[in-house]
Amino acid sequence: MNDIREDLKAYVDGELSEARAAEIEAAIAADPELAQEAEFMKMLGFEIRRAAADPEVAGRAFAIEKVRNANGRFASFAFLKMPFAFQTAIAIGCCALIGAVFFPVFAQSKSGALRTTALSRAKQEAAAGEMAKNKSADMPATASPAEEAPYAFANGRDAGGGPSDNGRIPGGLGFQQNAELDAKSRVRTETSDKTGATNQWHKEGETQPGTTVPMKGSNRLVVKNADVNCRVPSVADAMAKSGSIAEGLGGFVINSNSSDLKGENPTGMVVMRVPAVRFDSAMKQIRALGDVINESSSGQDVTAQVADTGARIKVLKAEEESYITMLRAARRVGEMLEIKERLSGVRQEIESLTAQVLSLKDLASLSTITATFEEKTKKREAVEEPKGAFEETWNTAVNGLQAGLQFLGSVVIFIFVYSPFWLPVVGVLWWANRKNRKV
Amino acid sequence: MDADLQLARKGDRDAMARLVDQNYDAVFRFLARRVGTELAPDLAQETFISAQKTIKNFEGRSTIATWLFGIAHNHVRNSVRKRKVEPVDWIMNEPTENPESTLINREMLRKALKTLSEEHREVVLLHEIDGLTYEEAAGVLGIPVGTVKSRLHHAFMALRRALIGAEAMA
Repeated sequence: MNDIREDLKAYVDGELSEARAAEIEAAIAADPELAQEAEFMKMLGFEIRRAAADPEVAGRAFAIEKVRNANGRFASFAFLKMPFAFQTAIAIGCCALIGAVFFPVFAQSKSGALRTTALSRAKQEAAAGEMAKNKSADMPATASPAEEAPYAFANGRDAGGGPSDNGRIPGGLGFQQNAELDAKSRVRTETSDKTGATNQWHKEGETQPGTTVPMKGSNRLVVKNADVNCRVPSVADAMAKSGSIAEGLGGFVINSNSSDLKGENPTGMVVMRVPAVRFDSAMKQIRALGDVINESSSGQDVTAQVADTGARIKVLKAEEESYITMLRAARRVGEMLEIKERLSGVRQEIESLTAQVLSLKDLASLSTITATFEEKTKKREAVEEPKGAFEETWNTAVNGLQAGLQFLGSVVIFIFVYSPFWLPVVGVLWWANRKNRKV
Repeated sequence: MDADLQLARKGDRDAMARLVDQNYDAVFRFLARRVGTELAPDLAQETFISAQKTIKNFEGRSTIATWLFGIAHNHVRNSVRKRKVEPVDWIMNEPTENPESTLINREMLRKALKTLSEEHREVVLLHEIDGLTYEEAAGVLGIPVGTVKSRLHHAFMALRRALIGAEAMA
């Protein structure tokens, strides 16, 4: 009965199937209460419709005007009318284009950074070895820290073991003075037989790769360093000859090390100091030992610096004299102590500057050459056994498959890495398509 | 499909304007009964602008009026949510003739209608006032036809109880 009652309103509204309507009709005929209920529903519906008023219409003209002037959203956006697959392809294409523009920039900067780091590390490692040798071979056993610093400079390295191809003087000279030195007197040449590239920083028109820094007149003081990398027939012979060259020119070897001399890739390094006037001759003889792979040389004119330091020493000595006079005239103990303290400070400074001048002169008198040797490798003649046609085809197919898989892998990685760019675009397109789909 | 409708789907603004003209009264009244005559013009305008943007997706599976009612219904729902619009009273004619001529006292009917829940009120409006079939009402509300039938049944039962209770109290 409840089923019948629930469909009573639908029956009154004529919304039932014929069969169901017949069932309800039969039930109404059999049940007067149900008939009364149906009648009431009919009457209620009629009264509701009769009572409902039609509100007065307003704003028609304005709405029509608005529709005439409005632009449909996305209506003129032809891109969204394309199939989703095309939209996605275009979006990924745009992302790939952006990637192609930016990826090489990122890659270059990254590889550049890696190259710099590797170079710096290699220099530091080489310097560490040299420093250890320097201390024992070239430095007096009782050397003070002030004396130690210039020796480090002589080998083209800073006191901390780091590279100093700009010729910075640690300890003895301040940073500002070093900067001035860089700006005023840096002379550097580099050559490479591999690339043929040449980097040059010249001071007032001077030097060619491999030549000496010119010394105009006997008063010029130039600190010179050079690095030579040679490929030689025998590393051991080349190292021995290097020692002879240094000694023959009045110089000496300060560091020498080798590795894998009896192995397949023997290498060796010799750091030598030769009189500055024989720098050219030394370089020439070292180059003659084998084929030069690359070579770089640098020179720093320290004449002005020595002159400045000398002037400062002069001023300080005058100050020292005046303190001595004041000390003689002093009567009170407190006064005497204060003057003595100042006098002591001035004297320390004079000594320090004098040591600097001496070390600079010493550095300028001897040049440092670092020669690195590697052995020429014999080309092994590959004896290839003739392969069968089947094996060749097999190898070709395997190689092709490998190359294809590598390419696919690269594509997948590329798409994955760039997903933050293209995924939102595809998402928006998907959303826009979903919103625009047919209803 | 109607020629204006075809043209409007292709982006013809004049055809769209004619469609607005033809359906404006129905849409306006639909809205006025739900949000009042103050807000109705704004919502009617928004309804037709929305319709213009999406008319290319209209495939004629329902009448244009029912489709417009569906859009209008969504605007009403959003408006109620955003602007906190209260449901308006039923807009009813005042009996000009003899009040005794009406089968049900108009004031009692108004009070009974006010007791309806929002869901029941909506189906009563759609079917009894806007004149939609159960299927069309289901399309506008986005619910199954069976649900419309059930809601209408319960709405009328509630009205009957309210009217009988009011009569007994009188």
